[in-house]
Amino acid sequence: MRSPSALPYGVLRFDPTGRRHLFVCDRPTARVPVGDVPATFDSWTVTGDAPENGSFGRKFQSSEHLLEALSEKLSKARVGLRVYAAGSESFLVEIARITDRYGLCAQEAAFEEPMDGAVPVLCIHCKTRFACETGAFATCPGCGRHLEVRTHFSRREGAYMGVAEPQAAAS
Amino acid sequence: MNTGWDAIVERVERPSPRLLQIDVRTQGATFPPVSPGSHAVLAFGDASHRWKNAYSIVARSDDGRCLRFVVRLATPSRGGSRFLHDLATAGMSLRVASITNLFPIVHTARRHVMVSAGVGITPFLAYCASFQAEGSDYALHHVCRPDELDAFAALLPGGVRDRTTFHTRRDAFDLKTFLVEEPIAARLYTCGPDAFVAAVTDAATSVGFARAKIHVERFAAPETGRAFTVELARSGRRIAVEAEQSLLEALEAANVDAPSLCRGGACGQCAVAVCAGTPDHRDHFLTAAEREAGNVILTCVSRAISDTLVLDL
Repeated sequence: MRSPSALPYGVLRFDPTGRRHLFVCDRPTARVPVGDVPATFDSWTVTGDAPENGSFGRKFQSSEHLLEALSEKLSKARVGLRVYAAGSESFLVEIARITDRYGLCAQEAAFEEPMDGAVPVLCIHCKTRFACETGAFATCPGCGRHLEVRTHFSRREGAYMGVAEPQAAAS
Repeated sequence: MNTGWDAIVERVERPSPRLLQIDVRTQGATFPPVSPGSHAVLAFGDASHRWKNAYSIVARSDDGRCLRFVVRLATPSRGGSRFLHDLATAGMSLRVASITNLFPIVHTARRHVMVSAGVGITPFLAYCASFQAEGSDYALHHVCRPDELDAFAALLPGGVRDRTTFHTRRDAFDLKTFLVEEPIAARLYTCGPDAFVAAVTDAATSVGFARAKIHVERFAAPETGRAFTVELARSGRRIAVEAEQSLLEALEAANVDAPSLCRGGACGQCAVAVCAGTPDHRDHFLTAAEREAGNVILTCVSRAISDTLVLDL
């Protein structure tokens, strides 16, 4: 069961009250929002090194490039924009950090259920961020500590907190 | 629980024939810190009639002993604003019955846009003072009659005039032209008569403002209506509600302990269960389903369709 503090994931639907619509995703297999496709609709996709795979709209070689472009766009955006995001949870939480920074509310920024099981974790000891594929424990790739991945999601940090129990701390 | 503050009028100024600025000084405990957007219910009157009306708090003195209000002579008036305009003078006793904020600033917003009409500017006078002090990004659009522009401009706190646009011709006030240029981070606040607030809300949503970013305060004074009778189920008392009187006012006049807070149909605190009869809902609080069910009523603004309304009081 997903933590109640997680992002409000759900089925993406075009919001008819929006005036411009942007769909961002970290893989070409992500589905666009359901509903009538609005006239002013743009799509940004992370395609990596394989841009010629049939995805439409603007293509990015990496998530970092897409996030940078999104930050630039939102810094100048006017009212009426709606952002829809699909991909891994790590990708979605970074999108959320940017939309939060520029003041978008829940109606203006929507998030699909994560498309894979990896969750973003922040090691509270060395501040390393990494994706954790499994369960409640992980080894920090930064400091080597054995971490318990807490169930509380920090939207501000965009990650679940990884905390080393004293008896499990690396020597 | 605080039951209000005995107070007196300390000072009265008349920026225009229809605007009254009134400073009220407590005769006992200091007023609590007041956040912008707060309103107070003032109880005042004379031997023949008592009023309890809600007014936005424009400012609170640093020592906490004075509150400032601006009262517009309402047309038509149920008498309260006329009483104050005609008779408020330094030394007049009144009571600050309660202080509440149902219209607070969203402090996490990066830009604030306010749109008001007439005396609806009053909560924004407090807002703007706060924005100026904090260096926030904001803009105020105010619709008023041409002959009142100078009076409203004189009410603005220091530095606010440069951020304010006055619109003196409502038919030429194309709000969409302004709103469509707002950054996505902007929050919109509007205050004024029902029809004005509805028009602003419609204009904002038409250019894509998210509904959660539109913040509304309505100056909904109880409307007059057909006289009816209210029966109190627990005691069997029957009380006449006159045409010019709200249901809440009739209950209070009969010394019934009826709850209330905003007195404008917005907060729901005056909700009372209906045992029999058909309510005439005029509030902004109940859902459509609650109205349809007809088993609760907001006594401050709503009335009755039936000749008699039986309440669980």
